[in-house]
Amino acid sequence: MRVSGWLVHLTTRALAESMDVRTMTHLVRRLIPNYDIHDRTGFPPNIPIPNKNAAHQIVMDMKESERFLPFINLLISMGDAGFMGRRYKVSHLREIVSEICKTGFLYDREFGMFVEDPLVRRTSNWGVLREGEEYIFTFLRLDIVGNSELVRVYPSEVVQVSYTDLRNILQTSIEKRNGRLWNWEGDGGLGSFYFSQKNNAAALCAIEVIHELFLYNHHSCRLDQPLRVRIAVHSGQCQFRHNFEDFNNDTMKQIIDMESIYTKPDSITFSSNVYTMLDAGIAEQLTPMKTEKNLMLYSYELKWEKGKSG
Amino acid sequence: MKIAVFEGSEAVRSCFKLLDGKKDFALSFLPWQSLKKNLKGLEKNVFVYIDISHYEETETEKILKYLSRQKDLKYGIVDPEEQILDVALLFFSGAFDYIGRKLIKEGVRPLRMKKVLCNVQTKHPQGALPTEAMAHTAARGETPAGQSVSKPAVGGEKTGQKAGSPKGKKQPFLASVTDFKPSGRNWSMVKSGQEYTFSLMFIELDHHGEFRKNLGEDIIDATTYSFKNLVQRLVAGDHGRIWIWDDFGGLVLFPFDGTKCDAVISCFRLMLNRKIICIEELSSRMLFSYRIVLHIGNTIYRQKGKTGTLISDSINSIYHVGKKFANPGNLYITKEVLPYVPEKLSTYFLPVARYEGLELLRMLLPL
Repeated sequence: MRVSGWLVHLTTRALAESMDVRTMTHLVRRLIPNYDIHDRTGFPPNIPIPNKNAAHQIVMDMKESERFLPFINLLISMGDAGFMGRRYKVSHLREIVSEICKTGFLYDREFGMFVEDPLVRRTSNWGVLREGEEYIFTFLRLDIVGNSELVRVYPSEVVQVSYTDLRNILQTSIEKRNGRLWNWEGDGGLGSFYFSQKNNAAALCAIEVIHELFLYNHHSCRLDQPLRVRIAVHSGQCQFRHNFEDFNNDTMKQIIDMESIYTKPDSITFSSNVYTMLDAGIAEQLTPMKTEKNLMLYSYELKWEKGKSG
Repeated sequence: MKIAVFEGSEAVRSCFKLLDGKKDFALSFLPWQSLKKNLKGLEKNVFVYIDISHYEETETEKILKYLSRQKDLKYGIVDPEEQILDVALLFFSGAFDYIGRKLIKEGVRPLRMKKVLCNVQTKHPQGALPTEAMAHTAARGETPAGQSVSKPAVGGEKTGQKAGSPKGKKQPFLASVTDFKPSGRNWSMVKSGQEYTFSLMFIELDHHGEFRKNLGEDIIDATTYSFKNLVQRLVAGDHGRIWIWDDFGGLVLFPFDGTKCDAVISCFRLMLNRKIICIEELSSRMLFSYRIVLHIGNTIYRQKGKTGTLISDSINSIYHVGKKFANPGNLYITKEVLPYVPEKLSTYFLPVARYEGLELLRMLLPL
């Protein structure tokens, strides 16, 4: 995020007018544990630092270390929930939040942090996740069944159009729920959910993709046969990487196994991590699966009442 | 595929020679001077190329404007002298292809031509291509919005096929609509006070009589508000508009041009995604259900809110089916809608009954 001079000025004033240097330092140490304000400002330890100088130095350090938004999150929580047993009234906070919103961010009260406004931009880290840090994500992996055969049998443009349609279905469904399509390889992709009720969002997204694909196959698919997919939904810890090729951890391996080994065509497999976090309305649509390694998995497929004609 | 090239030079003719003799394409060359005269006589399933090199600059502009106004024309521009500076503008105004100097030298390959036609088909799935869809369009007697056409002679009943039989489904329009007045593909041609044929969709939340007993006023208000917004949003993609609405449901109108009825897909999607919708969209933890009836029929159109004194047989019938006949959580379509259900989806509709003169089919439900 680009921090404007005006925002630096406002935040400096907010800090200087709302708290003493000691409180400021304690606050910063929430983000940078060994932060030394004397070292940073150049004032010797035996000389008190004027509020304004300390505030300006802190704001500049937050800006340069790309911790400006987390720092503002702390200021907001200071006003809402208090800090070290005392509630502070941080001045200019409303103006600061409004300035940040102008740059394409929204304040998420549930998470107590700024996230990018999906109407303005959609980046793979939601504008806030940091490279190399661990987060708990919910992943949705989709794979096209019989990709090699489809590519061999049909003209490439027909296959291309069908896969693009599928990608659009997936992407629309993911982004509608504030997820991100992190990767699309041509025969499948991986979506990621981090904010809000991420397990519900991923589950509903997967179910919707199966439904939309059903409509697509019955209404506008150009192939002579239905386009079929396998979907897996799993949740776990993962280091965030901007480059998808750098992702390499157990959660990713597990979801690949779930999809390729345990998932039938036209169905979704959910891990128990995800299942236990689902709303009852979604969980009751899933059926437990038997697996060889006593792995608790759950599946969903579109079933119809009997009586189909034709 | 028939391709007509309006040209006047050997270079342009030779640019199409790679298509000559290929079984997928039937090429014909026509003199550029007779463009306007011949365009009128061309079948709709012909893709047209126009060589603009013989026109003066001002004439070219006029011709391009003329082409962009032709509703059903699928065309490409051949520009040997590369007079067109901004080629993208051609595509914005409806062209499907552009052949410049370099391509004229290389010649148009069959694969490229197929891509062009593929693109036409994507953008105009019901358009003038030599597909089944085209044949049906012609058989249905498509007319501009507002013009009345007489009832086609053939219909499901006259061929002795049972309502709901997939074999009868592609038979053309409407045994029961005596005066078919298409309202067009969108709302641009619809005028207040005139009679049109619309796709009419009745939708209502089930068991709403019980709501007041079991739910608080706030939850009821939030649910009905969300439900109305949801219906409004989901039908908007197919040009549907809520026309009449009370607290728990109402009537949605979709313009109908006699060739397709996208409302079917909207309704099917609403039934398929009912559980997702309840969980995500309706602000309550209860699993709600709704019933839908879809019909194609005539009504005088009046602006929303001015429908109090409206008398329409179609609207009466659909309300009676929706309120008195339809079971909770089900989608019903009338026999009039069946010809417009995509073929593969038609097997998901079963004939159920005849009610107040309407033959009804019920959609199988997802479990």
